[in-house]
Amino acid sequence: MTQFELLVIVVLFSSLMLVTGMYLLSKFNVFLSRYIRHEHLRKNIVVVLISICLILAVAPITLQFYEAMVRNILHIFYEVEILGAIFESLFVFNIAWLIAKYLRQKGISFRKRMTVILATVVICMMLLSIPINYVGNIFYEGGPSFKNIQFSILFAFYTGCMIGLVYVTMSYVDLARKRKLDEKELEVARLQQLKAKAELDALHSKINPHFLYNALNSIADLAVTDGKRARKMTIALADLFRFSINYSDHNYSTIKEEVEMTEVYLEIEKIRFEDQLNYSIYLDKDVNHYLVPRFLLQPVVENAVKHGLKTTGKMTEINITVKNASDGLNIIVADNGPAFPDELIPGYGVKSMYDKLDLLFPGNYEIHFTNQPEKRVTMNIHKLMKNEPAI
Amino acid sequence: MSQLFKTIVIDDEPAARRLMKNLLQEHSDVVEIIGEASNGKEALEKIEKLKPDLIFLDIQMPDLTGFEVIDQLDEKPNIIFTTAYEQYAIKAFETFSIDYLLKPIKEERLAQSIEKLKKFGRFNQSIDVNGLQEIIRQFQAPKKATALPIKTGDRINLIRFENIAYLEAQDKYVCVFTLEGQKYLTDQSLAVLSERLPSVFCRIHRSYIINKEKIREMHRHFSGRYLFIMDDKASTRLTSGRTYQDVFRSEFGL
Repeated sequence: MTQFELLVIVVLFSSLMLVTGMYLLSKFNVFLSRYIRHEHLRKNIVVVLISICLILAVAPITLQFYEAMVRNILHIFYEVEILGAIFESLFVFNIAWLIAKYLRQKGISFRKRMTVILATVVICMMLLSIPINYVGNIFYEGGPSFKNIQFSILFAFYTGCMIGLVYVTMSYVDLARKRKLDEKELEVARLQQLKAKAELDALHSKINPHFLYNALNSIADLAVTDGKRARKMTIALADLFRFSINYSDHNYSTIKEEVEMTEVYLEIEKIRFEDQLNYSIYLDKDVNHYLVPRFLLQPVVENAVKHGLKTTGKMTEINITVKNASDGLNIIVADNGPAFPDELIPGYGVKSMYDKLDLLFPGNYEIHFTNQPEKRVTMNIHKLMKNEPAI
Repeated sequence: MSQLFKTIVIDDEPAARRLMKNLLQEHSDVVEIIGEASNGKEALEKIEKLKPDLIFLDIQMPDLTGFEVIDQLDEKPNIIFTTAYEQYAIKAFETFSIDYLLKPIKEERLAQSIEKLKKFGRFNQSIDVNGLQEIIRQFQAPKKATALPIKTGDRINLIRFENIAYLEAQDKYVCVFTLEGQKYLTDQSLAVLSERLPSVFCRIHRSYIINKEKIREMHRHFSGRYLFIMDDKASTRLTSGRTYQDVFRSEFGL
């Protein structure tokens, strides 16, 4: 076999290795992931494979290659190169990996991170080339020496730059992809918010129509028997429906509005059930302007009224308290009706309370049902908002 | 002059009762009001005691519905329902009531009911109420539970099903784990809880019930077991038990 033929084979082999290496590189994040669960171990293996491929690909352009070819010790050359590649890649990859992890934790900007990693890779490669050269000379020269050390270091600098740049490019592509994904996620979040708004709209419109019919039936009587009360009730009813019909596009309303609406509602119930219902409202001084989901309070109070009236022959007492606590805003609705059963099944009122808070204060609220010392529902909103949010 | 219908007006609102009484004054040649009741319990007592021929019955009352009142009566008088509800099985209760009146009550409509009463009303005999059970069942269509009540001390926490990742039995207690990783303790057994959970929950192990909608991954494990990775914050891993594998296999179609 002539030297030229050998060279052709070597070049073809190197090209094949280059293609394989590039392929592996492009599949870096998924290759072998089905067989090896351990992420770091898998990455180490893939890195070793890639670096062997690439070192074989660039081998023909090294100084030692020609020397080895001339001296007919190519097999030794390849052995040394592969061993070197394994050690080098494991060492450099893990150091770069540790540094990258550390830098990411620190939250340093992408550009700075890439610069540091590139420098690390180059320096590591150059440092490592010294012992590799030293050991390699055992095979080439028959004994350890630092012969050709300057070429080894120079070549290490070159390959270090190459590998580092490949890493930077890959990271950049990854970053771009992530950005695109983030944008998509943002879009999804926006759509979800729109959906939430639509859902809230649906929840709002549910002022009980029977409530209206029953109230009108009462007015039909009061108009004849008690004109003053009829007038009071008509006005209260108009006020209540003004809250629900004229509500603007906002999902939130202030505590003040919520309490006003609830009070109007309670006024109507008080007239309807003459003397069977009593209520009191206590507000901390500075809670009036906090924002809560619109129509949060009224359904809860409506529940309390309904359950309170179940115990017949007893005055139903409703106490509403809104206070500032260390852990946020506390909205408490207490009544003297029968205790909550252990097997509490949420009806419309309870469900709507959860739904509204879920949509507007996700993860920032707590609801407690308590029977002792008094029967009450406590809504605790941790995150407080005072100004109109831009929703 | 023919016999008068002795009547009790039943409604939880005083004004509604008053209105009915006032409107009925126009028909004093047909009905005579002998009493009124403001809730289901009172209604039952008065009906048993006064033995009316006719009741005007509100359907929605705080303690009992009108249908439940009828159900508990031994002798059932003629009934005219008064209700604000249009959508309930009106057709069905037409079969055993004289009529139903929608609130607010119209005088003309009441006059029609009285005409009907004169035609079909019967004295001194209990009416048949076919299909009442069916109506009660429809009317109280069991509220679909959406949350699991967990009692801790004096508090009842409602944990909504969609927020539950899985339940784990530990000693005498059961821990309910939410997607957020919160943990609630209850002293009810897993078997009792499983009856209260909807069908999206599935028992995979002596100690585990999982929410099928919150499974991220399933992996085949040793000896026919499966490893479930849950879609909660902690990506909890749970392994199925051998005794339960038939159950969930059929559920998952494996």
